[in-house]
Amino acid sequence: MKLDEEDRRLLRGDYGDVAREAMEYQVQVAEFYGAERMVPLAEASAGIDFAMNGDFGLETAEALADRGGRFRVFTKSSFLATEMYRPEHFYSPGDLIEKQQRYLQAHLRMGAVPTYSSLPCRTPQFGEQVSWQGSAIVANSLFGARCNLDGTVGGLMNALAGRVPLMGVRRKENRYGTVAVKVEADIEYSVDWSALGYAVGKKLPAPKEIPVFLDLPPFHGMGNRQTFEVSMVTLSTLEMYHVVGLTPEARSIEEALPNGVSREITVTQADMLGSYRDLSTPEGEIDLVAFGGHHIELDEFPRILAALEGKRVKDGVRLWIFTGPQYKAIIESIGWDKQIEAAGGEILYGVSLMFMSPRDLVEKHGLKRVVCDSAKMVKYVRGFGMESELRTVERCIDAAVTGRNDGSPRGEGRREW
Amino acid sequence: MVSIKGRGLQGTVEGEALVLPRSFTFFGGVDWNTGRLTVGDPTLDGQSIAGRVFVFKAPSGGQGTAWKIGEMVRNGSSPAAIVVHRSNSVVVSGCIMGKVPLVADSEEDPTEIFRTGDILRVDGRSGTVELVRRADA
Repeated sequence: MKLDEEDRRLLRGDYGDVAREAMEYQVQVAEFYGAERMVPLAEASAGIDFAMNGDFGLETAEALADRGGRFRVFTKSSFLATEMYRPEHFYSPGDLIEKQQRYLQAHLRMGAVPTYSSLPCRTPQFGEQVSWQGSAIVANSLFGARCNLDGTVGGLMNALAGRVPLMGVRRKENRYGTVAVKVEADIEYSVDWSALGYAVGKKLPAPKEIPVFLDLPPFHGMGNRQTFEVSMVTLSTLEMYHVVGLTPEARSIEEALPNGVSREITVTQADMLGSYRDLSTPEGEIDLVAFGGHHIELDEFPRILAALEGKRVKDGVRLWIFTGPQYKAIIESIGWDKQIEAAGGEILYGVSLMFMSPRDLVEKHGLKRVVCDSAKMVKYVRGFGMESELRTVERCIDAAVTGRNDGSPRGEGRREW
Repeated sequence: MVSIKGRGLQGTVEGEALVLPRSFTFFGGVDWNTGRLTVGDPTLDGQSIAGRVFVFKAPSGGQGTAWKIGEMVRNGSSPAAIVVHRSNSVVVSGCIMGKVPLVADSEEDPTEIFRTGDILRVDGRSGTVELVRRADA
C-alpha cells in the first residue's frame, strides 16, 4: 500500500496519539481488503446512541476525548437513545439519560455537530468521499457521494483519522450494477415501499450486490424513498442501488450496467405481500403504534394526519411518531403537534423506538404488542421481545383507535393468509 | 484435511463451532450479556456463541454491530473467533476493535463445510480455518 505524506504524519503521531491510532486502524482495514491508498473524507458521522453502542461505546468515546481526540473532518452525530425533550415521560430511566448525556458531551468535546437524526442535513456533492455509517445507501444512491458501509466503530475511526482506504464503492469501477431487478408489484400504499424494499433485501442477502431497478414506479416523495432504502438494508448489507432514469449514476441502463444485463431477478406482488406476512403477528390487542423506522419526513405527516382525522387513540394505547428535531419548529408552526396530541398521539424527537431499550418497554411498561409502518422497525424490535407487525399508515391508525391489529395489515378486509 | 482459506485478522484460536447457515446481525440477533442467540428459530435460540467459533453466512443490517462485538468481549460473552463467508467492514471493524480472530471471504461457504460441534482451528494471520475434529468423531 502506498502512504502519502499526510498518512505518514498521522502514523508518526504528528496530530496526536488518538489520530495515530485511528490511522493505524485504517491501515489494518486497508491491508485486510488490499486497498492501495488512502483518500481524505469530506464529512463523517459518528453515532452516539447509547442503546446501540452501549457502555463500551461510551467508555471508548470518553477515553478518546480525554486523550485529546478531535474529529479531523466535519462530523455529525445522529440518534440518541432517549427522547430529547421529555425523556422521563417516554420511560427512559435516570441512569440511561445520564449516560446518554455523557456520550453526547464526549462527542461535543471531539468537535461533533449533533443532528439527532438520520435525516440528511448537509447535502454532499456528487462524487465526494463521505462516511455516513448506516446511511451509506442514501449517500451513494440519493446524492451520488461515495460511502462504504463502515458501521459505528468504523465511522468513529474514520472521523478521527479524516482519511479512509480507497476501496469498495469509493472506487467508480465498483459502483456499477451487479443484478438487474424487475418489479412486478403494484405500489398502492406508501408502506408498500417498505414491504418492497424488505423483499428486495431478502432476495439479495450477499454483500456487494448492487441492484439496478429497470422499471421502478416513481417514489412520489422523500418519505417513500427513505422507507424503501432503510427497508432494503434490513435483511441485507446493500450499500447502493440504481434506478434507471432517476439515481445520479444511472441516467441510462448502459451507465448503470455497462456490461449489459448478466443476471436478473423479479420481485413480484407475491414477494411484496410476503413481506407483510413475514412481518405480521397474530390478531389481538396491541399496546403501541409507532411511525418511523427512519425519521418521519415532512411529506409523511399529512398522510398520518389525514388517517387520524376525526379519530381518537384508544385509552391505554400509545401512538408515537418519531422524527428529527430539525423539523420541530416547522411542525409547531403548522400546529401538527397539537392535532396529534388532540387525537391522543405524541411526537418523539431525536430518538428511535429501536434505541429506546425496547426490552425495558416490554418488561417494565407493558409495551409488548406493536404495529409499525416500517419493515426495519418491525424486524429489529422483535430481537428485543416485542411482537410487531407491519401495516399501512391507515391500518396502523385503525389499530390505534380499536386497540387491536385485526384484519389485513394492508387494505380492507380479512387476512390473506 | 478439511480447511478453507480466506482473508484474516488478529491471532489464532481453537474452539468448538456453532454454525448458522444464514445471515445474522449482532444487533438483535444475540443477547450481548450471555451470548445466547435470539434469531427467531427455536432450534437455535438459546444456544450460546460465547467462547465458540461462530460461523455464519453474512452479516445483515446493524451498523452498531462493531460495538456489540467489542461489548461482548468486555462482557466475556463474545465468540472466540468469527468465520463468515461474506464479510463487510462492519464485522471487520468489530474484530479489529475487539481483537477477535476473523477469517472471511473464502471461496467455499464455511457454513456448508463445517458443522456445529466441530473443533476448528482459526488462524487470523494466514486467513485459514482447519477442521481439527468432526462433531461426531
